[in-house]
Amino acid sequence: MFGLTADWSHEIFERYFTLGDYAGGEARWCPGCGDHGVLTAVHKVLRDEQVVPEMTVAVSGIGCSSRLPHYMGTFGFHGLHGRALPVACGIKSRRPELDVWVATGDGDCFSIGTAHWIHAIRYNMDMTMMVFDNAIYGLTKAQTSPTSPTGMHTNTHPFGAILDPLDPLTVTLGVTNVSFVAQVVDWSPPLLYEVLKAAHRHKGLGFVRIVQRCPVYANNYVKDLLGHPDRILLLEHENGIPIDNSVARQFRNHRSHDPSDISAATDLARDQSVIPVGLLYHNPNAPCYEELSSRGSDMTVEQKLAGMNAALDTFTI
Amino acid sequence: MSKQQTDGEVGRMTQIPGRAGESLPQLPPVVKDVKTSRRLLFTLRHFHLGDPGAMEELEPLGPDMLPALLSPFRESSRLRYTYPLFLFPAEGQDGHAKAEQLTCPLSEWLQQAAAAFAPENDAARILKDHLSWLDHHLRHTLIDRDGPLDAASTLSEAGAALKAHLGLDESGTERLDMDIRSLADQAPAGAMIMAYGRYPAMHLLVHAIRSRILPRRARFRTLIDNCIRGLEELLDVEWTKSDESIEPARARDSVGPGNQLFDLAALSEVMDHSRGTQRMPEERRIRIEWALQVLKDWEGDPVLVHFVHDGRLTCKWLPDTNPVTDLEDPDPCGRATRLFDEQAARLAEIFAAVRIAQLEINGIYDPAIHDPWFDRFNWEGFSQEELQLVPTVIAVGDAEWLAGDGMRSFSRLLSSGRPVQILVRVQPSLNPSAAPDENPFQQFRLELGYLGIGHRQAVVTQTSPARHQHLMEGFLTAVDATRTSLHVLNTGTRTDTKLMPLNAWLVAGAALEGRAHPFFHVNPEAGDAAAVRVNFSGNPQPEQDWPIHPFAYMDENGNRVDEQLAFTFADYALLVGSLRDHFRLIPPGTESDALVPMQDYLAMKPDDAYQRVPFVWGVDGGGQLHRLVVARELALACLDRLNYWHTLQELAGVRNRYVEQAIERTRQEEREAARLNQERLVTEHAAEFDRARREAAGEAMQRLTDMLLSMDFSQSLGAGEPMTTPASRPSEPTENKTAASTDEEGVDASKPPPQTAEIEDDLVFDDPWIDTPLCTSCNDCLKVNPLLFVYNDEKQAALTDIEEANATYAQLVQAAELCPARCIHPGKPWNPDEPGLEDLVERAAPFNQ
Amino acid sequence: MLNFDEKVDLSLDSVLLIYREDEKRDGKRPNRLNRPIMMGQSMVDEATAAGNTTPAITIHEHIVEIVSDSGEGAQKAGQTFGAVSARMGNGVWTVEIIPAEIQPPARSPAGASGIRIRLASKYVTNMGDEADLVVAFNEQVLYSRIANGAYKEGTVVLLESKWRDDPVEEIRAQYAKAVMEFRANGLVVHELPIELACLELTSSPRKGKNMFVLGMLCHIFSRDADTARAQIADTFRRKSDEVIALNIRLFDSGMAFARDHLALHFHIPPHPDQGGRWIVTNGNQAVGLGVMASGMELVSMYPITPATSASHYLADVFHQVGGFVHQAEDEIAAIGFALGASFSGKTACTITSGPGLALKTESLALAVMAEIPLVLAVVQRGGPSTGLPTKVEQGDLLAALYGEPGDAPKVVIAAATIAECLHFVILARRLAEAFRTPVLLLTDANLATGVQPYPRPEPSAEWLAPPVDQSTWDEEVPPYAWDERTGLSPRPIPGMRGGEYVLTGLAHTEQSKVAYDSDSNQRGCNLRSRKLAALAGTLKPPKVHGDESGDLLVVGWGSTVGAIEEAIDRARAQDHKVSSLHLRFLSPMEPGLKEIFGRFRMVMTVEINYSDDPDAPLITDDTRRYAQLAWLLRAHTLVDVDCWSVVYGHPLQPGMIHRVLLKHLDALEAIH
Repeated sequence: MFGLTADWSHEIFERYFTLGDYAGGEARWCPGCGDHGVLTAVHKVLRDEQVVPEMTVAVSGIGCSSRLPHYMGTFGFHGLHGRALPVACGIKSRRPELDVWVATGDGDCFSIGTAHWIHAIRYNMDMTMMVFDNAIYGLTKAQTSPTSPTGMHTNTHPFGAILDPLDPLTVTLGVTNVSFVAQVVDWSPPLLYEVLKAAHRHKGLGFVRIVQRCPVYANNYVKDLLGHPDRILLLEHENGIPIDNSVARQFRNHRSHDPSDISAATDLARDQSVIPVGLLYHNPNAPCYEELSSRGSDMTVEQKLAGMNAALDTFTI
Repeated sequence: MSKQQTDGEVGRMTQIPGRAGESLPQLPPVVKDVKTSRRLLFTLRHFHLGDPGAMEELEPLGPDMLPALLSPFRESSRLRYTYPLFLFPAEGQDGHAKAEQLTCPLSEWLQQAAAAFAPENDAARILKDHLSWLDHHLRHTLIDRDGPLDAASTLSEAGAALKAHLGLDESGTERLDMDIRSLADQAPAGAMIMAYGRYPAMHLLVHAIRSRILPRRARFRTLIDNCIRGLEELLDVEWTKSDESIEPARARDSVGPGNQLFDLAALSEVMDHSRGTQRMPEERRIRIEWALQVLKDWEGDPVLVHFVHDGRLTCKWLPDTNPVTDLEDPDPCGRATRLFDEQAARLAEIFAAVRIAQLEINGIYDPAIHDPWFDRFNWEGFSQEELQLVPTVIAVGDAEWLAGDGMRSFSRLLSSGRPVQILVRVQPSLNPSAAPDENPFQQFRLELGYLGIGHRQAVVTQTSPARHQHLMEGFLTAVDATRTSLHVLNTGTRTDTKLMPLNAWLVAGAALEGRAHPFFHVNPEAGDAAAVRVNFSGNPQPEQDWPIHPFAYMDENGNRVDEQLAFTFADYALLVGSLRDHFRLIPPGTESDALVPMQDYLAMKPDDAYQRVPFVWGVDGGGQLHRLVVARELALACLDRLNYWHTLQELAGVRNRYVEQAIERTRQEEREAARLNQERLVTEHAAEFDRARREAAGEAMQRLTDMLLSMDFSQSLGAGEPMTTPASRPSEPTENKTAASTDEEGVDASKPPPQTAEIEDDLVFDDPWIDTPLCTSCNDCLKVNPLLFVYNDEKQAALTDIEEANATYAQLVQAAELCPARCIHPGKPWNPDEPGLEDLVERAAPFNQ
Repeated sequence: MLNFDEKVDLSLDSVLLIYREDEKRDGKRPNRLNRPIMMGQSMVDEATAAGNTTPAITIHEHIVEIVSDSGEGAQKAGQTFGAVSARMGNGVWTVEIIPAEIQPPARSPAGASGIRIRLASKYVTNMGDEADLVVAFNEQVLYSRIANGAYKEGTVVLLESKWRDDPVEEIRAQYAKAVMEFRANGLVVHELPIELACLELTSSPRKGKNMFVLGMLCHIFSRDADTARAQIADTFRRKSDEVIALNIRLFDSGMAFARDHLALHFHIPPHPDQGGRWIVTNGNQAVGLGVMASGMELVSMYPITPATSASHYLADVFHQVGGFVHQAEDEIAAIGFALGASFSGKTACTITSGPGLALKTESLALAVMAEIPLVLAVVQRGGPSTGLPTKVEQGDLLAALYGEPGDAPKVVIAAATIAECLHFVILARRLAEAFRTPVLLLTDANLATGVQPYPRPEPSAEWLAPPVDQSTWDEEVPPYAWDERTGLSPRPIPGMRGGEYVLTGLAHTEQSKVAYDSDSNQRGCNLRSRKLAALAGTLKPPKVHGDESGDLLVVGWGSTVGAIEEAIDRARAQDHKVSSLHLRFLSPMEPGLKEIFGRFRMVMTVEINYSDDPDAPLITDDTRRYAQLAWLLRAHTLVDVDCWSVVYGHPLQPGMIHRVLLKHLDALEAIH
């Protein structure tokens, strides 16, 4: 009788991964640096989603945050200042099955890498992009970054930063084919974790700006925020980021926001009086570039030779 | 024709236009004579009871006598019915097509096709006006053709005939020609046209199977190709690790035509890739190569269907186009079982290869698990998709054989669960368990369909090609099911030559109508309850004992009489030559209460019935209406059929006695309950009324006292309230409070709720603690005292035991100040001797709120 | 004394002065085509009444140019003519004359757009010297060609005559003056009412003229009309049948016109059959074909002249082999994207030109430092800066070798022929993976736009990249398990269990751990450099063209091979002891050079890049800057390698080189 033999050939021993499998060398960031929290959150997301370590690639540029790959137990690409995104997209282009994470900073992404940031949003390749934004150049010792608040004292602007800071959210939301924009602060690990998990699950480029402190060069930047917790606006929605009590307690200022509403998201981003945290915009159906760029990967040698000969034939005399 | 009858026999047939308004059948004029009619009645009754003498006295039926309801359709040449069928090609189907997507009556298709290429009303006028002619023409030219024919060419031929028939002028012919061509183009490649030949059911079954298996095979082909590519890649990669991959000749080829620049020996020296990446174990390579070989050698079996029959099937009927083979075997069921096992065994290898390929490509083949699995891999381990790739095996059984000598292997196959199709053609008029020379009514009829149902786990269908839709639905479910399936079919036979020729399709339809061959479909896969298993569709007026149709005639005085007339098994029997001796003409004018219409007779209690003589209405070629007395033996056969019909009704939940009783019971109970309830309400109302009246008085007094009290003591009462806020532990009460407050927030996000803030500010507590979920794992506190501050499994800070860590209050305060998440709360100092406590307590204060 | 600064002077006298000097020197007789032609100002001429065809004279080589304002389709006509000639078994080399602007002003010398076709009864390897026959759509465009020394006394000019009666007085004047000047200076000018003739077939002759001219040429060189018609149909295969029909009508009437009105009629016999199947492509198409043949699946590029047409071609056909062309947001992103793909196991290719190379250097250095396979094709153009976008130069050699800060040893190869443009991509992909390094393939504008027949490669599975290795990685083997002898190491690829490592551009250990200590950095540099030595060890010494020893050895690289060897052959025919040697590998350098150089009295390079003219003001042995290969060879071999090079934007002509050889031989004599 059919089904008399139960099919146990699919019941195999599954590998199980622990935080340790995703952890690399001991993190060398300064004590108190926000990067530690992000790293921990990334490890947890990977662990909870049981992502296969050897199928994961952490790509970064240059800067403190770009050290992240070195602290991962996965594959990593610690490349050039500002160039993390092109490399990440290249990795994804013919190996869409790889799980790609991009670690970049306010200088790396919003300054030297601006062109790639804009276009990566357009390509919308399925990866998780974390911008560690501490409003300062740390590795090169306290220069003004595009997001340094006006008046912030840095080595390049000892009398205070002279330009208004660039707003990464409005820029990102303004780019064609944007599909996932979230913001979070490093001192709320539960929210950080949920946001990164959502960004990772999103099919497309999950853009996450992490407002965080540099305890050495930009401590006040965060101190001010901690001093005025009501400047942080927690976004709530059934389609948004799940919020637990500790987060709800941490940020008392809440607002309901539908992440499918891009104009509402843009207004939130424009409002400089608050720092919205949570999911600003989400479009799960934006097309992903790798669907085009990976076409033909499944061709056989015979098909390739046939195609090659066809090409040569058009020139044959 | 009223709505409820449209699924009845009569509803399915229409006369060709112009024949409508036939003259009604007519009762012959009579001379009334009491004496003779009493004598006559005596003879009739004796005939009914089986007295051979009476048989002689009464006039037998003429060859042109038909059941009254069928008389309008006696001219089969003018009958329009659902055949020929248009068969849509199996190629290009997705393998889930519904019956109506596979077949449709040619007449319908012609209409649609014409509309498709010439949507405007006046376009292709000539053709559209003669579509019915084409339909009619094809029906008659194909009447004796067996099996499907190519649609396009058949249509063109018919078109040529139409041209000849019309003999239009040049331009007209030209236009018609063009339209016929576009009409033929509407038929997709591979489309077929099929008439109602001798084996319509088998051809439709083959069609159903092709439409299922061909798409599945296409999918399987791609799957195999993907597996081959995947395995070849694995081996290619493996090869690059080998020494031969870098031997000079290879090195030369690999750098392409530019190779004359190189010293090849030296080049091969430096091209070693064998380090780091690990070679695959030998047994894995062997396994992969084996699977690859099997996959590459596989060329699909051209055969889709294997018929196994006992030789009565003359196989000229098989068109060569169909990939169908046939085997002769005295025991078709047994042979089919073996054949299926052979087929499955042959496929088990390729299926195993595909499965191994997929496991290997995903790198999850585990010899410990999978070797034993594939050692014992047979059809019972197949997946549904795999099982449905096995060429269909069809055992064509002869009813008598199955009911007799074949019963054992028939029964074994039915219970084996092997997805084999068993096809049996039955004669509704006969009893399969009766010997050929035996009187079919000698014993109760053996119902093969019910025998199938008795096997519980097999799919059983009783149907007829005369209803192609029902037939196809049955076939499709059976082909999709992964169980043994039994198809009990009645094709209907053309009435024997000594009678007037009647169309087989019509006779088959009559069998359905007369409950001689009721339709049903039982699919055990649907569930365990009959309610979900049994499909009773296709039977005319399923809730009735016999389908009832209006019937009108002219009485002897030429007045129109309208009646409701049932079509019983006896009416069907009229169409069967061998049963005609069960009827005799009732001479015109014979009047008696004893003579009752068959349907009434069958509805009577046995004792009442015994007093009566049943008759059915018949019409002869001259349009004369007759009453025909029915022999008791046939009447009993009717009852036997009716009993089977009731059994089926009950299975299908139609007129289910249990249900009817249950409904009655519930009605009773409800009436009772309602009555009691009403009584209760009445008494309650009375009581309520009393109480209300008593209270009204007291209330006025109460209001007065209240007022007096409040005047004097309101102040002191307010002050006397003790004000208490419980001093709460940090975590749980705050949490609840903020949780509550945040809910309010949701409503109004503008300002933080003051009262929550105050409460939190008032909070003080003694023991140090860390709000661990908020820790950002920044290492700050661990630097202060790695024994006191440790990470938990989530890599977030927690406190250990203060003594064991010999911690100081200073360390706690320092850590609290460092912590970016402000989640460390030092609490109160525990060691009064610790230096600089005041200062520390002061510094700690902000973190203890 | 011949000097190129004079030569690019626009005055005709100087040009002709040069010709006269040439003829004096190598005693070349003035052009043999200079026979009377029954054809003057007037079209109708008794001797060439319709149908009366002049018999064809057999010749063995001819150089034809078509020049026009851009947008008049001269190049299309020339390509078609070249292809037809190739099909008829002639050796062919065509090279385009491209103005920098898309739509330069009409009738301006700078706007000259066109094509040169050199066809012969032998295999042709370069564009040759001065043209024998020119078809000009207006007289002005001829000036710039004349300035480039494209013509000689006796070059036959078939000139559109419509300008003679142009409504604009000024144009009429320009035309009359030009025709007079041309004639006065020895060009044989025939004025033909080409447009007038086309008007009979099409209302917009400016579009159709080119096919009419093609017809004329096909008659003049006795090309097979059907082959030509087929070729036209192919050229316009993307257009409607009407368009094709019209162009064929124009072609036919062009043929008839030439037959009826021109006394020019030649026959150039095919050269002995080379056997096998041949293809005709330009160098950029060859690069594209190479990418496909190499099994690379990704080309990541950013538009830049003259490299882009390679990507255009790929974009058209890459999908046939499952490939994808990524147009990145900038040159840096283009190489970054390619590096990402390479890192993930799919070695990729990026194609650019000088300025793009400059932008890519940082990423290139990363590829060297982190040992990422990569193929970078550089189609050289005139520099520095934006320089001469459409013209040829070999100026990127040193940038390719030493462009990066710090020591960045990498493989650099240069294609010398169009066929090599195809072959070397396959080679490059293979070496990039075997040696875990970026490979730069240098070509140039001359190869990119030159069209030439060459044997059709028969694609082989061996050329393709193997599938991505996803086997388990032996954790004992570090990600940079350098072989001390060769510096080579196996490479873990994402997806290989146990192979996880973090690639970094920082100094690192063999574990790929960041290491700033002296030993780690020294070791890394040693071993990366050692890979080149290992590769050098697999190379054969280069072949000498000509005798193995002698007076003068000319060393070249890249697209100049044809012109140099032709010049060498001419000189050897005059019993001079000269040989040449052409380098394909520039990093590592091909072995045995010092020994070979030792067998010659003098060694010099001939290049298309800048070097100081020793006779120029202030130039002494102390101050002279050498051409780029010369610079390398001097450092590499300690031989006093001389050089001769120009940056005039055009491919070298054998005649020029020949003159240079003789000059240096004279100098050698003088020493005795």
